[in-house]
Amino acid sequence: MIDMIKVNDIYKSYGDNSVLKGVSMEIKNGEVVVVIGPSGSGKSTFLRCVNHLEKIDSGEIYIDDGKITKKTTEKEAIKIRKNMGMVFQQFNLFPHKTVFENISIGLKYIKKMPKEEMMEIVQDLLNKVGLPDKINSYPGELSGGQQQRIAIARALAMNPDCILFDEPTSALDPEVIGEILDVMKKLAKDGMTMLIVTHEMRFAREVADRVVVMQDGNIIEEGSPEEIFTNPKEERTRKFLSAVLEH
Amino acid sequence: MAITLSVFAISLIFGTFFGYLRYKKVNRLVDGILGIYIDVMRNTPLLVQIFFIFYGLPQFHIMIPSVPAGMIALSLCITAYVAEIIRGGIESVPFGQWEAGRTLNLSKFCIFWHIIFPQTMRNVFPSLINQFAQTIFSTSLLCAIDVKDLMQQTTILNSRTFRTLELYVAALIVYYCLTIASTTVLRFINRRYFPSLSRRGE
Amino acid sequence: MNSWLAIWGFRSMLLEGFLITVLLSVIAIIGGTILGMIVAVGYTGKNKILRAILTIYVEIFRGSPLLLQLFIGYFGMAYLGFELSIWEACIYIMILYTGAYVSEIIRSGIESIPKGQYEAAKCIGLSKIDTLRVIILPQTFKKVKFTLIGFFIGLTKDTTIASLVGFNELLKQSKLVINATGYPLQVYFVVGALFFIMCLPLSKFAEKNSVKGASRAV
Repeated sequence: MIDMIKVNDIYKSYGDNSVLKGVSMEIKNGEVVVVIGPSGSGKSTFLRCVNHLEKIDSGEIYIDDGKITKKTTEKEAIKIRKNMGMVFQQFNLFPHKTVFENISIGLKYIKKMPKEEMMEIVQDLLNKVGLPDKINSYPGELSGGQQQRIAIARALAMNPDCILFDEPTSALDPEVIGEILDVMKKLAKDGMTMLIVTHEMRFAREVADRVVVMQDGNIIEEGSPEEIFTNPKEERTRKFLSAVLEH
Repeated sequence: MAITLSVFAISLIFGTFFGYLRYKKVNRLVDGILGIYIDVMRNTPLLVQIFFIFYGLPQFHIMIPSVPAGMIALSLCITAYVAEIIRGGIESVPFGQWEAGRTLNLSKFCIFWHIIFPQTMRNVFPSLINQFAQTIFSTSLLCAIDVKDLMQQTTILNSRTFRTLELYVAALIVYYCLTIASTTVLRFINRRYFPSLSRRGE
Repeated sequence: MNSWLAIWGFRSMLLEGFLITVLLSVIAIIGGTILGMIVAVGYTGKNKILRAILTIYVEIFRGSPLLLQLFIGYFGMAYLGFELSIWEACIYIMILYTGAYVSEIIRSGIESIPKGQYEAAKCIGLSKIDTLRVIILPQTFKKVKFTLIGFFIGLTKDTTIASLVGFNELLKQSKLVINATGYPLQVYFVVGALFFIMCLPLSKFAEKNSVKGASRAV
């Protein structure tokens, strides 16, 4: 299998506060990689660097045939992001647009698709995330879980090769987390390449092909879920896991 | 500037009082009258109000010299604006604050004065700063009734020297400095005494 | 009773003044809003020089009395040799004045849009212009709508200030009527009433909705 994303030794700091201290990683086509680690470990920043929402200070990121360095401009980034969807912790749906408009916005303004064609795609995506009858609702009328499912549909609309998830369930009530994870599992089964930052350990264990543990801006350990959860090599991983899994 | 300051002080006192009355709705008649007063003042031009008092009232043989007439007109108008700002500010304090005060068995006056009013001031202070700047500008309108303010002085000088643009630009700079100086002082007070709000930025 | 009849005799003059007031207000509102939007958008850009120029413009027009601005626009420009007609001078200055305030209102609205909205738009791949046009500005206008209406009401009232440089709007016309009839009190009452009728519904509308929408002006 070929590498879809290859991250090579990236650094990132805000003022004196260095958040990423030389992170490298490869993600293969169709692979599901889950990044875990204590808060403040830099995992969200890492994710945001991958699609250039944050500028990196040094290092390179290769995506398909595109490349991000510290010199990458916003214009170049647009090309790279074309094949990459993103789902945020806070959903970031557009509150003044309907569900249909939210999902189809990229199709309309970038692919300039006619309405009938968009309609078909949107309806299809809504079926996929289990909300077929919400096409004309506004985000404000939906629950958090429903909003996040719409956000996933929106990320899927441009038919990306890969989706980034930035703590997609952290802003949700416990009882609706399951519905989001179900949608994500389905995506994983369909062979979508996914890079996920999450605190849902059970989900990580079930779905991940590979788990990456980050702490203080470094990757301290990575391996299959089995290895990481049952037999971690690093003391720090063990400590983190026992703190999270205890309750 | 003396006119601006005194007008603003008067407006602040009456405006706070009226704003409180508007919030409390003590008495339907009082509330109705206040409501009409505020609506009229806020929905008619200040210049018309000034002319009404200065040129209109003498018809009933009520002659008011220009300075007091101007001050009355300005105060009446700005009081109305301040009253609305204060009322909005009181309403923006969560009702739970009143309830918390009641559970501590504080008197109504005590709750208002020590709990609600300080929060109100904190909420409305930025609006009051803006209102003060507006008051400075409004004072310039008084030149229309011969009050010797900065604007009027400029016009007089102009008729003597005919250096029109220089004079007006100088006046503009003076006004600008006045506005900036006073709002900066007020912002400083705001930050000093209401730190929690100013961190959100004005 | 005589006084009111006398004023009624001059109704066409007052009406003409009223229409001119409305016209000046509408021009200032439309022109100023367009200008204000451009300035606010320019302000979101990264060009430091442009931002500095815009800041100076906004600061000057927000930091001085409209009356003085009108004096400079009309008498000051004439002094420099730019003979503007009173119409031109008043319209230009009112538009510039409106633009400065509107740009501040819109800018504060733009700044209140959460960062996540920009990020989501970026991730979808929208261009900068599309992001502003489709995502940011519509939300901004929804937020600042009632603040803008409030400002427009103030502006309509402020058009009276143009009478002081000799512009023949409602207040100026009323002065002529006063000179002819000798009833200042009643005439100013009528003028006030005309403004009141024009502004009250709008301000009530804005008030009601801004409480619901909780869009607070600074």
